[in-house]
Amino acid sequence: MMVNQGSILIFTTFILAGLLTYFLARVSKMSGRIGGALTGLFSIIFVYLFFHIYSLPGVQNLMFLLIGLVYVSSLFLLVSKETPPIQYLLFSGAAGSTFAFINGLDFITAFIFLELSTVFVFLSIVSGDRKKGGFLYLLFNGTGGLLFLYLLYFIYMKTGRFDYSAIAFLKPDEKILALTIGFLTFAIKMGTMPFHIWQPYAYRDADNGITVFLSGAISKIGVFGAFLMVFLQGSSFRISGNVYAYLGVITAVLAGLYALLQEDAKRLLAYSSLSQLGYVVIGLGLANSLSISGAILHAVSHGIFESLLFLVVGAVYIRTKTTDLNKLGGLITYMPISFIALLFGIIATSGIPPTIGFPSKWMLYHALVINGDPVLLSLTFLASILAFLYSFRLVYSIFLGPYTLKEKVGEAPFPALAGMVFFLLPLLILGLFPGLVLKFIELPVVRFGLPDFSFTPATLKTPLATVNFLTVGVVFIAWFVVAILVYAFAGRSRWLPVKNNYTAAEAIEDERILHYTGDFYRFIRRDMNFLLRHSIQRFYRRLFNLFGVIGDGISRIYTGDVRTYVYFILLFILIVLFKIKGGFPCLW
Amino acid sequence: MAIKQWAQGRSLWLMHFCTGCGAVELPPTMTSRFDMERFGIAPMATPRQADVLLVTGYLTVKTLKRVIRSYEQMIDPKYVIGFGSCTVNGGMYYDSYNVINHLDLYIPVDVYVAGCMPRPEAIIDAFLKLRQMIVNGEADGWKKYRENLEWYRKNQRKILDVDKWGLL
Amino acid sequence: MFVVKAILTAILVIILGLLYGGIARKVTARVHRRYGPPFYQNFIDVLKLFSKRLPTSHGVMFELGPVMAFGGMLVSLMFLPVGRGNPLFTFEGDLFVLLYLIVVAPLGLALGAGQASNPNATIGIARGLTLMIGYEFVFFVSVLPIIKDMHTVNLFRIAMAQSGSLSSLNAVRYPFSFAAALISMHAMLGEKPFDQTVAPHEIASGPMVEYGGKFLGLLQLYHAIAIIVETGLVVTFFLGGFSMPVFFLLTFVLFIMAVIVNTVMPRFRIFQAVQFFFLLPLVLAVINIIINAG
Ligand code: SF4
Repeated sequence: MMVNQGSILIFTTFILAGLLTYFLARVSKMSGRIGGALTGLFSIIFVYLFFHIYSLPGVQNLMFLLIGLVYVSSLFLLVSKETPPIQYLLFSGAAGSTFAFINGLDFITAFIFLELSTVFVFLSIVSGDRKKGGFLYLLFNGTGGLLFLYLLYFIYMKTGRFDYSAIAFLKPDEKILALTIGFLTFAIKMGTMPFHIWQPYAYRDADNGITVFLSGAISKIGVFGAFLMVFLQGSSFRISGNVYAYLGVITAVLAGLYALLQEDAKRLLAYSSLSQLGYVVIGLGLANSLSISGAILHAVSHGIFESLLFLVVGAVYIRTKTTDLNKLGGLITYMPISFIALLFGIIATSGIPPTIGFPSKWMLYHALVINGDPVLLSLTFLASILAFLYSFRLVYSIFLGPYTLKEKVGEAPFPALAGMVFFLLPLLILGLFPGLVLKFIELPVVRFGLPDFSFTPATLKTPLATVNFLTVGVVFIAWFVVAILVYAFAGRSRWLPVKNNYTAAEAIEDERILHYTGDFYRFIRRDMNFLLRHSIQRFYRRLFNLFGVIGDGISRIYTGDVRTYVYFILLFILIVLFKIKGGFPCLW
Repeated sequence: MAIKQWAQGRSLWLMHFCTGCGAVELPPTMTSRFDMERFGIAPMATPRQADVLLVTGYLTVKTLKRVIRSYEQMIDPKYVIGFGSCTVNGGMYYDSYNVINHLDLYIPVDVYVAGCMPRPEAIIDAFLKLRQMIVNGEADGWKKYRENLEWYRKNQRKILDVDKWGLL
Repeated sequence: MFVVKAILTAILVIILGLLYGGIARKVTARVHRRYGPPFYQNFIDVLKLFSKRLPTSHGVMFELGPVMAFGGMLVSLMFLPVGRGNPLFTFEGDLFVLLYLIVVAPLGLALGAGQASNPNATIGIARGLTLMIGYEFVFFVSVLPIIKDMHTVNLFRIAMAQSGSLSSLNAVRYPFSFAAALISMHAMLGEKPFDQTVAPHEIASGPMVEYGGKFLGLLQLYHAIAIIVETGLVVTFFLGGFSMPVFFLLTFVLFIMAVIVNTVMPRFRIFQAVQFFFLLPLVLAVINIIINAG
């Protein structure tokens, strides 16, 4: 049993960096911040040097770059606020284990670091004020870990090997079983629909800096793992693949719908993150070269824009101490740069060119058209309409409308702004040159063969159409310049305070009453009740009630009880016992 | 310059400010019998979009506040049409305790339509008169308001608590 | 070369759009048994709006909103094949590029209206976005059989494939989809019964509530282009393959049809409108998909 040496090295580096920061932060806040930034940067540079030497193939390399980007930015958010010292340590641990997971190419390494990242994130969430998210996180991801352990065991029993390629030695039906289990594990990590309950709570309750990393990087463990599962199975995946594609599209639509109705920025973003990862699952599920390239590209763009959004919301929290959409408003006056960052973030979320969100969705659409399932295609489109709705809600409630807070606030702290710029650059550049990302994954996806699909840095070509994204961008910018010229030559304007507004000639005392924000899409909530009433969460609750004893244990998680962890371990032992007794002989 | 005024005269957007009895004459003016859209006159929803403020009849002190506020929210160049004898000199309410008599003291009026109440023909005639004035550059009430703001404010202050009401 | 062509197209479309608007006012008036304004009234209006002095503003985004709406519509126009033999760019326009570019303009308007901080404006935006769930979705479903059969999403190729005989028009081959697409075009144009976004008597013209002067002028221009882009999208998909004059004629016919419906219709409540889309037009579109598959 060999654990990948590189992974251990990476993990150790990060843990050491985290420990160092922890002690520095204990000494004084300032030294903690500086130390945190420096050690973090140092460790990431070290990792890159390391991987420059052992240069990795395609997707791994891409994931490294992406997670590195997210890591640096969330580190910047962490150091720009009052972060408890322990969070630095836990954050470093989570980051280290994520990198180590991506690096390792055998089941043992993968399992160890999967679990380690779960544990670190869990500890980080529960060391905050609200704990519910942490326990839900542990419940779901722990179950995922168990599934993965089972997979590991299963494959070891069958082949006596631990590396990924061992899967090739399985019999076809065993293969399908193994990969289904693997896919489920990572579906939980991504929060695909029936397993999504933990995500909104965990994202809400985690420290803001950790949330950036959770959404941008930890979810990429899921993407990477699911990609591996599809990759290892190759073309034989396609039969079960459609089921996953449907799971993905249901996630995309329903999570989008829930996102509309959230009153808390972080919860809204959590659902939007779920919804966007739904697209990734669709792409992986279709399992052809175009769709998988699209899925990976979308995972990258999700990593960029979703982390950017979480970063801005985190920066807003630093200044206003709230993420409640009903309390915020009008921040554009005081935080213009954050506004621009959030604006581009939502433009990418909605998939509007010339940002990175567009090419990835474009590829997925083409893959879906080629696949030819009208239900899948139209529902995917529906999900992207919903993205407009919740993104506008986000930007309006935070930055537009009248200013609602009592005191003035400043622009986001400098490190957070630097983090935003880190995201904005790739967001725009890769929107014009998506081929730069696709170059990384050219080799691995060739394996899937199918549609005739080629690209240059700025151009993508599928059997359906060819699009030059650079042209789109240039045309876009050119006409905007024209529009601005028309606007500028039409004379100056007169700026008025918000209070001077059309109120049917009534004078208003308090401009806050002009804010239309709470329950923004009330007509949807009112009239779509039939859909939303039967939420999956309720389904889980009912299921738990049904299962008596187990249900009792699990419902304690909703009360935030530590003992649930014990139940969790008991469950594990039960399963092991079950195995010893014999269980399903055909599977073992 | 001339083309601007030409356009301004031929596209008059109204602000619905229907107080008093005169409002009842506007629907026939708008609809098929008299059809004021022939002259490019169209009703608009908010003061920001409108060019012409129609004051259709008597103004109580309470409505005067709203009229002034709406007038100030409009964008230059803007015009006012006083409607019926009530806006000229108080009309049949000249001795009422809460009705103002001379609209001209509070906002500059470009065209008056006399009569109690004026017929739609008279209204359309007033619009055409206004158009003529705009084209000739005579409808400069908005300039006067700007230049003599203090005088208007003084008059407004006499009956209204303008500063507390928060005119802008 | 194509810079000149692009600019000429833009100017032509703006002029035509304003003209269509003016004629629509005339048609509405005739339905009401009025004379109505002269057909060039919209030009006068735009001229007047741009000649207004010092329009009021509430901030940077407020001012950039109409600019983004105007610019965004111009960009979408560039990716629409305007008639035969007129692809402006080498790749000739792709359905998804256009569908995503079309929403830039409403997004700009929404952001601008958002900074206006008027509840009427925001309600209008919320309604408009909700309505989008209905019409965008239905439009997309209605073009599905076409892109499936032609196996391309290139708008130019789709348009060209229909040239030739009358029976090769998609409107003839996919009549139910055409009906659904017409209804969703109606909502895209914001004509009654789908004018919940603007609703002048209810929410004081919604997003436009605080806009006056040149901002409103820009929005008028945006609307003029939007008329052609939105009707043109339907023409490309269902009545494509004709030369440029016929293309504009067809957009005009579709637009006037929508206007005639508009003059005699009341307004739906917002959710009734969305429900309507999921009942009648969606079913029509789905029927055509089923017929086509079978
Ligand atoms: S002028 Fe006559 S009709 Fe007009 S408001 Fe006065 S009393 Fe009424």
